[in-house]
Amino acid sequence: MIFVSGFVSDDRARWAELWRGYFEFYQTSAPDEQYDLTWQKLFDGRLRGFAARDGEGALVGLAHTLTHEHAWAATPALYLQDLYVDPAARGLGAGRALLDAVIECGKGFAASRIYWSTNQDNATARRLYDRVAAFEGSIRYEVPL
Amino acid sequence: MVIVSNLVSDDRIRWSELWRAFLATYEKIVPESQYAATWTRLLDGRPFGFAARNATGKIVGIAHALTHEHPWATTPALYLRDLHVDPAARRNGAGRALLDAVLAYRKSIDACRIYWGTQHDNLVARRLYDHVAQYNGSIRYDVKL
Repeated sequence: MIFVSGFVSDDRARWAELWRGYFEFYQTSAPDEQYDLTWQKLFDGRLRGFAARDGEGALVGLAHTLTHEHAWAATPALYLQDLYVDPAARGLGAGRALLDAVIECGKGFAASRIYWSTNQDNATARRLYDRVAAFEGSIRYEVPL
Repeated sequence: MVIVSNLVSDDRIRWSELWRAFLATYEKIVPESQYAATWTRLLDGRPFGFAARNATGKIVGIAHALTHEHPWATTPALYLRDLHVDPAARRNGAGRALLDAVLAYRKSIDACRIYWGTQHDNLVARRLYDHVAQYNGSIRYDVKL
């Protein structure tokens, strides 16, 4: 049984483990200061965090969202930036539970959009995403810095 | 010869024409009240607006870019939301001039990323984008609202 809640300060160490796992999946990393800053943002409202917990309350997955103005609409867009489930806890519905919580959150404030990105080759993630959202041909260009 | 500058109050009517044409390419209609709201935000710099002007000063293209928090970085991300060049003024470098202005703006605010979306089959736009940016396989999922 998985349930989703917000983060509390006691989650800091486990959250950092999961977020590190997320970065490793993308073969990237973030400096330690970034962990401090992002943790702070999760509590001051600049980002919103979602924590998936198993029956014992252990953190097994995380999601980070942010809102931004949308030029086409009166209400902000909700962007799901990070979504990660501990590989040891896959198949229990944590990913779906996190998505459902994010979507419910967006609907709660009448978000003009609820969206996220993934790699076109990430077939596992896309099987899940195809159930709750749609890829409508939009691809992302980024300028290398 | 195309020059890019900010949008100013006198641009309101011509800006509306161009934005309407942009939205029409996405088969999107937004209410008139949204034009007023977005125009107010543009004059306020949220999103930041760019106007490409020809030698007579007439606006031939527009771009809207917004910043948002990014959990991976200390500085915001810059999202180029809308980019449109009047079809009658294409092939004069207005699109490239707008992109260059947005890139310069990114530097001025030290954004951690700059990115935008496009339709995967929009080959005309992608030819331009491939000169200044990269598509790394990232595709966008949207929740149906």
